[in-house]
Amino acid sequence: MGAELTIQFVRNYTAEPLGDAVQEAAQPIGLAVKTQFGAFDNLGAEIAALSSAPEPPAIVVVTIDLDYFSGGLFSPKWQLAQVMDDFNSLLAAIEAIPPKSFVLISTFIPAFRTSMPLAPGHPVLGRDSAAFELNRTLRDFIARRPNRCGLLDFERIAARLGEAATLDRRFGLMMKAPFRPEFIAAAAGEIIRHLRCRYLPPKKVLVLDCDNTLWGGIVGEVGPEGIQLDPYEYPGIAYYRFQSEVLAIAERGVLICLCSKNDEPAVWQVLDQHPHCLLRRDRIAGHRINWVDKATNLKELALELNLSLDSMVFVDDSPAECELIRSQFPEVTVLQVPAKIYEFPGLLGASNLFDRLSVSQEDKDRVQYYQAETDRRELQTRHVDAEGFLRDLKMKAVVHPVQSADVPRASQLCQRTNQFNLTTKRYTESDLTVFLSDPDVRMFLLQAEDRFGSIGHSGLIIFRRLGGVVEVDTFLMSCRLIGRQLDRALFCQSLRLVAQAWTTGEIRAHYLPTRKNGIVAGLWKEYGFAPITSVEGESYACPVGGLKVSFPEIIQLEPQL
Amino acid sequence: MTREEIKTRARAALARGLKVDPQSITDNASQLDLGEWDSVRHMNVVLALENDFGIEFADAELPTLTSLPLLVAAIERHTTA
Repeated sequence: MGAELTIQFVRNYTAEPLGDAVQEAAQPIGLAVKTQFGAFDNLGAEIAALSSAPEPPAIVVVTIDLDYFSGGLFSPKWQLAQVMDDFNSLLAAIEAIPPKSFVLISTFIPAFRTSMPLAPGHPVLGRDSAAFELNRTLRDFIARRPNRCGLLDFERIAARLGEAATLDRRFGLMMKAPFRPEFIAAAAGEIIRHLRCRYLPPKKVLVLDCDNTLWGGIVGEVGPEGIQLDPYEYPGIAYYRFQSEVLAIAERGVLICLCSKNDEPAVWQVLDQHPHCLLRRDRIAGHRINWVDKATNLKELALELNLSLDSMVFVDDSPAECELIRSQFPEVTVLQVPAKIYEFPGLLGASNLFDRLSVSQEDKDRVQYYQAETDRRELQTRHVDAEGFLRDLKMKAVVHPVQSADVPRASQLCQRTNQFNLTTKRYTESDLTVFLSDPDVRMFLLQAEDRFGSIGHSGLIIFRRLGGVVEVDTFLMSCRLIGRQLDRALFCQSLRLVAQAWTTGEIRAHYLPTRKNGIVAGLWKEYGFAPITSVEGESYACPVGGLKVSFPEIIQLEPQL
Repeated sequence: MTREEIKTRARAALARGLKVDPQSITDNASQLDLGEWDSVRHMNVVLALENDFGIEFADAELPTLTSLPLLVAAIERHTTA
C-alpha cells in the first residue's frame, strides 16, 4: 500500500472517537489512515473550503446529528421545511466538492420512540419522522452519484444495535458526543467497507462444497430426493436461503465454483433437476467433483480460472477440510458452515467479503466469459498452430474513449487487473472522473467479442501529455485475454486516436514490476521501445515512426459491437 | 483490590483512552502535563475506566478526575462502597 489515506470529517458533533476507531480498524488490513477534523458545527463553510484545499482528502465523511442541525431539533422555531431547505443547500455544496475526493454521507437516525399520535398527518411530519424524510432525500442524492458519493448507513446500524448500544445520553448532552463505543465501532466498520472496496483487491471466486453446504445430507447416500433443500421445511430452508445468497453474489460478478468429494453425476443431477435447487449448472464457472484432496483441487481451479488463491473464498462444513485449506493456503479466506444451521443464511453477507461499490454489465456476464473459455480451450486443442487458432476465433474489437458511464468499469479494471498490467496504478472512480475533464489525459477502453461470445470491456489504456511528450500512464488487459493479440489492437488503435488530437513525436512508457506482472516484463521492447533512465521501475521511449507493433490482421476493428 | 492493583489497571485504561504508551504515564500524571489528555480523550478515559472496573462515575465527579492519583481515589470510593 504505502501512501497514507486522508479522511476529512465534516460534522456538527464530536466525531473524533469515530476517527480514532477508523484508524484502529484500518491498521490490520494494511491501510494507513490519517484523519482530519474541521471546525465544529460549521458544515457549509467546511464543505465549501474543500473546493480550494491544496491537497484534497481521498475521503470526506459528512456526518450530521439531527439534534443540532438547522437551529436544533429542540428549538421552538424548528420546522421541517427549513430543515429540508438547509439539507438541500448542504447537498448542493457537497455536489461542488472536487471529484478527487469521494464523499461518504451518514444517514440520520430516526427517533427510537414516537410520540402520540403515532401516525402524524402528512404533510406536516412530526419531528420523530424528520429522519425518514431526510434519509429519503439523501439516498436519492447518493444513488444518482455512484462515482462520487457513498452511503454510511447509520440508521441501519442503530436498528441493528438498538438504542442502548447506540446512544450515549450522558456524553451526548455533556460533550455533543452522542454515540456509544459499540455504535462507533460499527460505524467505523462501515467506513472500512468503503475503503476496502476502493483500495484493496476484491475477492473474485466463491468455492463451495456440496453436501451439507449447498444442501443438507449426503447426496451419494440419500439420493437427490433425500437431500434437505425444501424452502418450506427446516433445515432445508436454511440451505435454500444460503443458495439464494450465493446467487445474489454471483450477480455481482463473483465466480462460483464447486469443490466436492462426490460422484460427479449425482451433483449435476441436483443442480440440473432438483426442484428447489437455485444454483444451476449455468452459474458454475469451474468445478472439481472428485475424490482428490481439496487443496490440490483448489490450486487447479485457481490455475484454470487464471486467478490467484488470495482472490478465493472457500466454504465447507467439514472442520478438517477447512483446516487443510487454512494451513496449506493461508491466503484463501475460509468460511465454515456454522454448526447451528439456522445461522447459515446471511453468513456470506455478514462477512462483507463480496462488497462492491457498483456492478457493471461485465460483472453480470462474467460467468459466461469463463464458460466460453472452456469452449475456446477445446478449439485450441484442435489447432496445432497458435495463429490458426486465433484466426479461427474470428475476433472483433472496438476501441473507444472512456465516457463517464464507463468510469465504474474502467476503475474496476484498474483495481482487479494484476498480470497484464504495466504500471498497476489502482485508480478509483474519483481519480478517473478527474481524468475525464483533464485536457492532458486520454483514456480508451477495449471491448471485444469472438465466435464464442462477448468478452466485454477488458482492456484499458491511459495516455498523458507532458509537454511535447506522450506517455502511456496505464496499460492493462484482463487476464483472460492474454495471448490473443488484443493488446496490440488496443495499443495501435488508441494511439491512432490520440494522434488525431495531440502531436505525437515521441512515446514514453513504463513498466513497474510487481509480484504478479512478470508476464509483461518484455512488452515495451517487443513493441519497439528502447530503455531510458528512470526514477522508478523501468522507463522506455520510442519515436512514433519506430514502433514495431501494428494492428493485428486477425482482429476485425468495428465501430461498435 | 489493593490500591496498587487499582493503580496498575487505571494506568492501563488511562493509556488506552489517551492512546499513549503506559510507560509514559508517571505516578502523578495529570491533565496539565499530558498534552493528549484533552476533553475528547477524557471521555475515552472515563468510558475505559467505567468499563474496566464495572462502575459509573457521578456527573459531578467527571471534571475532577484530572490526574492518575485522583482517578485511583475515585475508583476506590466506587469499588469499596
